[in-house]
Amino acid sequence: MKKKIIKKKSVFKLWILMAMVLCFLGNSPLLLQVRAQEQTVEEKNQIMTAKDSIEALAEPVEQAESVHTYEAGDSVFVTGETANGWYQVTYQNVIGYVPVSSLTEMELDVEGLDEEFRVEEEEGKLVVEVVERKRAEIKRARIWGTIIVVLVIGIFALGIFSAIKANKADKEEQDGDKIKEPAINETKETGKSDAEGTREDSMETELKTDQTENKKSEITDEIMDLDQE
Amino acid sequence: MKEKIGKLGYRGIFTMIVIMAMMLLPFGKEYFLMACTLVWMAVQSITVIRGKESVRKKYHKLDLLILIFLVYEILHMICRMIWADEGKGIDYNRNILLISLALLYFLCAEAKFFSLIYLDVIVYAGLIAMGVLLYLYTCDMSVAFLLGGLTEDTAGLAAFLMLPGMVSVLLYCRCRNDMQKWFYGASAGISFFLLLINHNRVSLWLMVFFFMMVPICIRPTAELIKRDMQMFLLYALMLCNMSLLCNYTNLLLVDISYDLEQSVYLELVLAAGALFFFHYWDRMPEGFPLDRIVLRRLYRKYQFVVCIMFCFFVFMLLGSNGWSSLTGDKGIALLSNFAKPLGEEIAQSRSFLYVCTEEQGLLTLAGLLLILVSVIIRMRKNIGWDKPITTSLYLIVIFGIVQCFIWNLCVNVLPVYLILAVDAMNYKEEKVRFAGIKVRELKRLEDQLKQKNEEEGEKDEKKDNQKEKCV
Repeated sequence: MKKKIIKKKSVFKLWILMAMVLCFLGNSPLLLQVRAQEQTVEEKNQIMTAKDSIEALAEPVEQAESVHTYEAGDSVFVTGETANGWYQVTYQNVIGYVPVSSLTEMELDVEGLDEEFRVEEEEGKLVVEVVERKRAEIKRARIWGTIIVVLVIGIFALGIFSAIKANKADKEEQDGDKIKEPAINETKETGKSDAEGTREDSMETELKTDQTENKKSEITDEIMDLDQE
Repeated sequence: MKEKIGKLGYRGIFTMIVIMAMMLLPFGKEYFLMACTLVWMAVQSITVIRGKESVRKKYHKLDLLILIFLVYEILHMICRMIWADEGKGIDYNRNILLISLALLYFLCAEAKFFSLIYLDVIVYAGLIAMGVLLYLYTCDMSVAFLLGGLTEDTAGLAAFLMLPGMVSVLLYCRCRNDMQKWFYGASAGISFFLLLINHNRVSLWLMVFFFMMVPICIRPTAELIKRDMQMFLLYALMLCNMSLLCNYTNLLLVDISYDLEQSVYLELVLAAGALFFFHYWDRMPEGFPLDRIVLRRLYRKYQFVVCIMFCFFVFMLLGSNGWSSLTGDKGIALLSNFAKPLGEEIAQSRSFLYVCTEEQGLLTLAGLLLILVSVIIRMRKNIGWDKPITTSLYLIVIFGIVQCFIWNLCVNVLPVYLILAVDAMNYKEEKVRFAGIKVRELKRLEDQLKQKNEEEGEKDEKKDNQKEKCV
C-alpha cells in the first residue's frame, strides 16, 4: 500500500515538475517569439498617420527593441494588423510593430492624388518631349548649318568659276575682233523718231550694225538705204 | 569690262577694301572708314607729289558744296569737343561718318574709273553676310554678334539686304553665261528670302518698285525684261509662300507672321498679271535674238504700272491713321489690314536725314538735301539707254537715296552707295549705239528683199533662156 502511495506521490511530483518546466518555458522570450511569429497578421496595405511620437518595435510586444521612431503626423505605411492590437508597419524594408491606438487613418484625397499623379506624368512626358525636341533641334540645326555652309561655298565657287569663264570668253571675243575687220559703229539713232511715230506699233527691233553677221548686215544696209531715201 | 584686279590700281583696291569692310566688319566701321580714307589720301598725295599722277582740273559745284559741308562738319566736331559737358558722354560716330564720306567722295571722284568688279565685290561680301544671317535664322541665334547688332535694327537690315539683292538682279539681267546666271540668281534669291524673313513691309514694296523700274531705266530689250520678270516671279513666289513657311513649318527660329489670306489674293493678282504678260509675249517676232528686240509698248505699260503703284503707295500712306477706323466689307478690311501696318512702320521709322538733323542741326539737313539733289542732277546728265552700266548704277543709287528719306541708313551701306553714286556721275562709259527699226517694217523689207531676189532670179533665167535660144 505504502509502495503504491509513494509511487503516486512521485508521479504527482513529476507532473508538478513538468508543469513548472512547461510554465518556465512558456514564459521565456524564445517561446514568446515563436508565439508571436505564429500569430496571424491580417494584411492591410494602408497609409496611416502617427498621432504622437511613437516607436516602431521589432515585435508586437512592449518589451521589444525599437527599429524606428515616427514623429507626430508622420505617414506610416501599415502592411498588416495582428489580433492582439498591433499594426505591422514597414519603413525602408524593415518591419516593425506599433500599437493600434497610436495611429489614425489618414483621410486620403484620392482625386487629388490622381490629379497629382496625372500632372506628374504629364510633366514627365513634357520633359521627355522637351529633351527630344531639343535633340531634334540640334540635329536639325546641324543639318541646316551644313546645307547653308555647302550652299554658300557652292555659290561662291560658282561665282568665281563663272567669272573666270566670262573672262576667258571676253578674251577670246577680243582676239576674234582683232583678227576680223572692225565693225561699223557709226549708225543712225532712230530711237526718238520711232518713239514718236510708232504708238500703234506693238514692238520694234533694233539691229546692231555688225558686218561680221552677213545676213543681218544685209537687212541693216537695206534699212539704212531706206532711211536715207 | 572685266578688268583684272592688277589693272585697278591702288584706288580700286582701296575701294574694294572699303566695300568689303563696311559690309562685313562687325564693329568700329566709322573708325575703320576714317582710317582707310586717311591712308588712301596719304597714298594719293604721295603719288601726286612724286608726279606720277595729276590732280583733276575741272571741278563742279557739287565738289564745292561737299567741301563746304566737310569744313562745316570738322568745325562742328571740334566745337562739340571743346564745349561739350564733361559729364555727358558724346557720340562722335555721326561726325566721323559724315567727314569720312565727304573725304571718300573726293577720293573716288579723282579716280574717274569704274569696274564691274566693284559690283561683284558687293555681291560676294553680301553673300558672306547673308550666309551668316541664314544660319542665324535657321540654326543658331547666338551668332548674331558676327553682324555687329545689325539684326537688332529691322530697317538697317532691310537696307543692307536690299543692296546685294538689287546688284544681283542687275548683274543677272546683263550676264552672258549660264553659270553667272545661276550665281547671280542664287545670290538674289537668298537676299529676297532674307528680306522676307526680315519682314519690313517698306523694303518689300521697294523691291517691287525696283523690279518695275529696271525696264524703264535700262533699254527694255526682250532679254532684259525676260530676266527681270524671272527675278520678279522668284521674289513673288517666295512672298506668296512665306505664309506657308511660317505657319506650317518650324524652319525659322524667328517669329514672323504672314497672312495666308493676303498671300492668296496676291497670287490671284500675279496670275492675272502673268496672263497678260504671256499674251503679250506670244506676239514676239520669231527668229530674232531677244537682246535686239526693244519692247517699247511694254515699256510704256511698265511706266503706267509704276505710276499706279506709286499713287497707291502714297494713297495708303496718306490715310495711314484712318485705316484702323475703317470698317466695311471684306475688301475694305483687307485693304485696311494691308495698309495699316505699312503706315505704322513708316510713321515709326526715323530716317537718316531726321537722325542727322536731330544730332547735328538744321544746317546739316540743308547741306545734305542740297548734296542729294545735286547728286541726282549730276547723275541724270550721265545716264541714258546707250549707257547700261551707268544707268544701272543710277538706279541703285536712286533707291539708296529714297531709303535715306525712309530709314536711318546703316553705316554698312552708306559708303557703298556713295562710291556707286560717284561712279555713276563720273564714269565715262562707251556708248552702245543701235540702229532701230519697227518689226512690221522689217518684215516688209524682208519680203521686198525676197521679191527682189525672185525677180532678179526670174530675169536671169529669162536672159539665160534667151541666150540659149539665140545660140
